[in-house]
Amino acid sequence: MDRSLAPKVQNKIELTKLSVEKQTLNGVEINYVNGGSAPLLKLELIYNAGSKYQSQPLVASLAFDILKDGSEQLNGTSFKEAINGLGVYYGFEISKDFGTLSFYVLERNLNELLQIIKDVIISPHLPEREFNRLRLKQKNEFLIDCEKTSFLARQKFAEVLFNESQYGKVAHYEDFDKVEYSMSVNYIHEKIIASPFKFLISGCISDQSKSLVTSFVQSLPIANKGEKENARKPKAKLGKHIIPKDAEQCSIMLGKILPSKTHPDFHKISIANTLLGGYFGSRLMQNIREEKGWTYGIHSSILGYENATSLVIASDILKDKGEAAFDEIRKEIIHLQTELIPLEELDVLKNYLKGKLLKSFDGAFEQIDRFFAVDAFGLNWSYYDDYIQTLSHITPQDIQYAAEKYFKWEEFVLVQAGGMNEKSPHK
Amino acid sequence: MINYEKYELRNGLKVIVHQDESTPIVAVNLAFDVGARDEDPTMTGLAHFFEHLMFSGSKNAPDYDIQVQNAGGQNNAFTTNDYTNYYITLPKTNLELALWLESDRMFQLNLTSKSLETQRQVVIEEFKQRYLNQPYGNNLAQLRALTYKDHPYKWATIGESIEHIEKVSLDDAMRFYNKFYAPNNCILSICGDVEIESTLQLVEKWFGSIESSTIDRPFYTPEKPQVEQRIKTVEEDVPLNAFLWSFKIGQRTNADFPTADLTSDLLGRDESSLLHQRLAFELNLVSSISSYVTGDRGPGMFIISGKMNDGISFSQVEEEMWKIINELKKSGPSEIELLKVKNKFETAHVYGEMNVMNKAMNLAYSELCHHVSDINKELQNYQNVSSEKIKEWMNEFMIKKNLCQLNVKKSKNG
Repeated sequence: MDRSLAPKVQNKIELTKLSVEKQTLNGVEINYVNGGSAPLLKLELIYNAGSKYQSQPLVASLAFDILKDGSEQLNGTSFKEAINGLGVYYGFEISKDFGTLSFYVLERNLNELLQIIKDVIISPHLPEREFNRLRLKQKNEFLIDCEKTSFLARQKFAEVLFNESQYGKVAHYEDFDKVEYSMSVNYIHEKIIASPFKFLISGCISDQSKSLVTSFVQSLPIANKGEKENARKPKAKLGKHIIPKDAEQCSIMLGKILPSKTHPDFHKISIANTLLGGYFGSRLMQNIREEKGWTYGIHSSILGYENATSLVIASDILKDKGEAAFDEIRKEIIHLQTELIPLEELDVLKNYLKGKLLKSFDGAFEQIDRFFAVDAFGLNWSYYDDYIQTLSHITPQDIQYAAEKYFKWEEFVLVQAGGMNEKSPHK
Repeated sequence: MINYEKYELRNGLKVIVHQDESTPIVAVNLAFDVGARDEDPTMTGLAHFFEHLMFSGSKNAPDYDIQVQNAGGQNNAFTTNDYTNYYITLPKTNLELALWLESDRMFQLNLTSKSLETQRQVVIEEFKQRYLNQPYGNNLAQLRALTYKDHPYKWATIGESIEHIEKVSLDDAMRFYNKFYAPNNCILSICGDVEIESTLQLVEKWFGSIESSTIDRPFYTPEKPQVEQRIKTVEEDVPLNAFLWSFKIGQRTNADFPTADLTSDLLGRDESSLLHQRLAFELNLVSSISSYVTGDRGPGMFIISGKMNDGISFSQVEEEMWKIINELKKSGPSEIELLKVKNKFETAHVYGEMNVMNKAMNLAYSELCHHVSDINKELQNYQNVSSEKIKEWMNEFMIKKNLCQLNVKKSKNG
């Protein structure tokens, strides 16, 4: 055995995509991804009720919080004991676009869970006292978050990047006094009760489970269309924004608007982003963590919402290196634009991404996530076939092209929180 | 139920293989029996710091991370007070590459002063990011120091202070490596669509010739029995008052561990738990409250922590908490309450067995703590917990003289 000879690596992958069985009943689009053998199911009810639909901050998130008080039939302590008693793990959460009720349930308890869900979405119990308690809880969490430079940077970043769009509306301290009980209650009436949703079901699904799901959906009094609305187009406030705070580190966040998943260049942009800061071997991680030791981590990601897509680079960093980090990031971007990636590095990048893709399709729970990630944009499984094609054929010139066209430094917004207390902030 | 095969190489490396034909991914996990408890009290944080150094590359693979990426893999590691764990997932066709990489860095790590200095800075930034630059970030470490006076669990894995990390030399790091990074101090688990016989041959091929070493483990000073309740109050620049309680409990491998764990679920696992229902939902005293057990190999902690609403005093919260604890001590949970926490445990258990990475980690950890076969007894052990056992256990452990209490008070200028 010769240790100096590395075992051969095989880089051809074959994705096994489970079929998505679609059925539309009573205005509700059901999607099943059937696979695996464990007696556990994941259910997701996805409503067009994310924060972009709310009239002011906190209305949507408090609406979904208060739904956790249960239904007219079963509420408060009894509701929580009943749903947890079934061993169910659940979350009622909102993103910018969607409000989602999600559940992990042992197959044997599906029927009882569906009855509980039905009562909650048809006749929720909405006590004002609970609304007030949850508002105070959120306010307390907000106060804690405001002590974190990373949170301050994230808030500011959303505001300046998505300026003038609903996506840029974040909660401020005074919003906790402005939001009213009736707003969240109305929101539930308009967006949940009698509204259709996208129903995702994954795991090992028996015919019996399917018929339970079918009768559940058919029994719902769906009365409206639950139509999507678009967020307004953002007008980013370019340049640098500084939030002073005395802290151990500073948090930086920078980025720009990108074309969406449906754009023909998107896969190339996504691969160029991974090279820049999307994996441990990325240019930014190697430079700023592994070479300089300024940070525990720096990451670049692409966040896609229904009506806007953005590049986001974030890091918590030595407090006197904020400025220098911006400069290094700019240099790395210019480097991508002016010099072709060496073929060896490109190979590693491609192989890494193929393995990552394979893993992201491992199991029904993973696959339903991959499905929704494209379905929400009106795309289908072929998106991933195109991605594999792009991965196989992408050239150094393609990456340079993507970086030149889509990572223009003058289109970036830059935010830094903390680390500037020695100077008086301006602008 | 997880089926597995277990072997031991002549050099003491324990190998556990589990076949799962449903996945194209293979998971490779290495659990080294070295954690923060094995550190010199004057150089705490070294086990975790060293975990970073394990990625510096080895003699034949100077670029560990690039090799993993090139094989389509993802990898990471973590350190606890008890052990250090390294893991990789990659396409099953590339299993041998992972074994080559892991054996090479176990055999001949390539430590340089350049990587030592860079990782020292990275670890110090990690210390700041996770502990110092977060409100309440350091409270758990303070609770640990209040709970343990003698046992090495008294310091957190990140280390007692940044100064300890600053003074680690290349020699210190090499000594640590030579002492603990040997096949007879490691459990290797492999899960995926693999063939047992040929997998073992590969393991033998790459790990078989690495020599075992004498593991010179420090003596873990046992904790002297606590004789009275300990209360410490710290003032910090935080927005809300907070409290962290710890009751000293036994170790993970004790027969009463499932009882302790389910008790913590009853009291504070989720929104339906007793403490949450009473203190948050009904009385609106706290903004959040939860409880859990640490599940250590040595003497563990039963932790209850929460953040208080404005204008509520520590004594109000204490009084209500003791009411709940004492009621449960007296009458035990109802059948329905007990079934609830058992059902939740079962859901989490089934979920945990759905993914090869989880399985590989759990198999290795189970072997590390006591014996790999324990993993398949776990669910039954939890099912066997009765209301009576919970009462008994609480009356023994959840008593004031076994309690260490940290009150975090917001400072005036905060």
